[in-house]
Amino acid sequence: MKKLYLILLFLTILIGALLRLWDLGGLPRGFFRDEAALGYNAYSIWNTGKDEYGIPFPTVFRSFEVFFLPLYVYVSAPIVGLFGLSEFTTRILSASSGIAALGATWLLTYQLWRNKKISFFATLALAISPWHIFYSRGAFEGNLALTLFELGFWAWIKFLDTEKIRFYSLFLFASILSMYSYQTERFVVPILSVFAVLFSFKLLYSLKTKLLIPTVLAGIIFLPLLSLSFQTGGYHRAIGVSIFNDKRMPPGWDENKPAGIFSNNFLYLRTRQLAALYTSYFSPRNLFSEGDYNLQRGTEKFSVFYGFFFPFLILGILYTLKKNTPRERLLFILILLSPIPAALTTDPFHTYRSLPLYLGLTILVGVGMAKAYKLLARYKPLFLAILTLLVTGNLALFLFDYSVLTQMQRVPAWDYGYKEMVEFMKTQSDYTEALIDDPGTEAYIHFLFFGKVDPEIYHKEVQTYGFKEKDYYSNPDELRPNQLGKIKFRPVDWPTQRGERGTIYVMKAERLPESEYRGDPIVHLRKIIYYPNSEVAFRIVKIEDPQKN
Amino acid sequence: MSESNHINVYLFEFLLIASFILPKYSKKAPALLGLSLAGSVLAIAISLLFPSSQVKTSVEIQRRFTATPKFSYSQIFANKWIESFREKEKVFFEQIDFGNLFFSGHPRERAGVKEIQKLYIFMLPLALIGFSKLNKNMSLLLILWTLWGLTIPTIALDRSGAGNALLLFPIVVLCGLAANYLTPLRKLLPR
Repeated sequence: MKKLYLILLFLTILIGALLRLWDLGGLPRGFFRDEAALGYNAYSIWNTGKDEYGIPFPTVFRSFEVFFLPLYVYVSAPIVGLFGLSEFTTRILSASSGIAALGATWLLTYQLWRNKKISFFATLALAISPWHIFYSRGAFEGNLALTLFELGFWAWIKFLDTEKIRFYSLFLFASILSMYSYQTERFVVPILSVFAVLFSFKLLYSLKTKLLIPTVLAGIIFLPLLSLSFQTGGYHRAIGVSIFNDKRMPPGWDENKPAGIFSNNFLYLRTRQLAALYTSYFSPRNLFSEGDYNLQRGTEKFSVFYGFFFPFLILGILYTLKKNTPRERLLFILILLSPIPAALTTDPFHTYRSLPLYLGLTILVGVGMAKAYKLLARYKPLFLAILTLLVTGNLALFLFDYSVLTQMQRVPAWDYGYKEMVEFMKTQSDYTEALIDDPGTEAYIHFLFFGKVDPEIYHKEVQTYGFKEKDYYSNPDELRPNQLGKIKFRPVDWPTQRGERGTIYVMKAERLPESEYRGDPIVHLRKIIYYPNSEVAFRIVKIEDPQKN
Repeated sequence: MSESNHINVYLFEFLLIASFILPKYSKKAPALLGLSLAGSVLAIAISLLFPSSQVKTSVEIQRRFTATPKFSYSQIFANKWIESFREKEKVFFEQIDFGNLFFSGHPRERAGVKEIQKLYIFMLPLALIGFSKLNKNMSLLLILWTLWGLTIPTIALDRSGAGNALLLFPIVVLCGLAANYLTPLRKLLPR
């Protein structure tokens, strides 16, 4: 029996690993700008010890209008440095974190309930979960943070059981590292830690002298992050997306009515809006059917969980509520806390900002599966047959929708086409300048990444933008590099800005329809880049003298 | 009155009568639940045989995207059965969406559906407390009620506010249970 269990667990983790690693560099098709920023900064750090702006070993990295936490870049740096800059090497850390999370889930659930069935089903639920496969297959620093957080959670429970200081140290170390990885953990970890300490205060007090050294060491590691919290770079992103920074009035506000206590009450309406945002993270509709509002953060026709997880989740919640020990309470506190950072922003159901919530819920799904297995003890073979059918059927459907439908319908949201664009531009030399029509001025990062631009050379170019090192953490002004040699990145108004001889224009299809240049003797179509569904992504044209035709 | 509303009225009456009879059969709860669940699954399965026009369009779009020889297996995954199931799954989960039940002007309002706030937000924590305090006799009735309250609009693809009116009864009962549970707390207050 033990052997069978180990075989099944091994197979589950193996399938989980395959789901996360298979064609990692090519799927998702397209390479999102944030992934490119992580990859290129890792490349720059490895080669020069500086980020893309030439700042030596920063505590946060600047990218476009945001600051992002540094751990993913620093851990990726040797991978990218040793194995080359590519989509695969940039994403592999997230995929590895996803695989490690499977092991961490087994450990955590076993430590929580001492029940191997629960641990197995929780690991299975995570291994096949749409949300976890999705976030493991892109370069998402939140996925690394989640695994570290889970490892820290396990170490804490293990410490409570064994009272061994090494687990306490691991808890501190992993938790702090998770806070160096992603913003959500910066909020969730400290608050959850307070509850954890309150629930186990007696034990901690009895071990106070032994805990002193690891706590002080952890404090030292935490210090740079803490000091960052008081600088613009540490809070700019959180403030920028906060609902309190939203200029729009809350839903229900009537512009034509005066503000009052019983009607048109701003405070009430804002509170109700916040409650609606918060509860949306627990809504079965969002969890099982609708998914993330942003096309880039989800799979076509799939949400966070499979529909068949729903009854297991209910069962898992009921069982865990019934037990209601401090450990279960800690799990529920995690579940209730996790969506708060996301709910304080204006975006509805932002899955990436609430990843720890789905981890907690997935564990409860696993608990529910194990309880159903126990409840239906008389029909075990039937239960297992139905579960196997549901798992394989849903997984097969998910794989089809992820690898085919999503890649056909959502690749524009994944910046598809920039790699092909850069490859094409590398073959061009006979132009005076190239204008990349880029209203968001973010395409430069794709040119740095796919062009594998030497960071030393690029750092010199950055100096010409008037960027000051002393402003790096404190000045929230956007740093938008707009030039790379002869290639310029800016919005192009085709009707008024066309006509400069020798210039290459790279335009999104909808910004340069064929009717805008067809029949024009000086506009020469050089290349069309297509999406996988055969729709036109980009048109590359060159302005030349008519006689060159 | 829509077709599903007619069914809702009949079902409401049926469940109301059942609520008086069911406690006598509490010992046979697993069998009753199993039968009811099987009936609900069967009803939904039969309804899959009659896909809506939207399903046909959706399948056509998917097939168009996947119509290359490389994806010849697309018919296994993009077909009317699966799409019809998804459509019903979507309506099913919409019925228990906290936004649709407890808020007007919530962040994910549905296009083409007139959103109505059905319950007060303070009832949400009460319903959750009530859910955790269910006793066996109550559970049977409420589970059956909820099951059919979800099944009917799912089969009828009724996304309107009236569609999930039937579901409001168990939620209100749960709130009542919670209130009943919380009442002894008054004793703790100073006189």
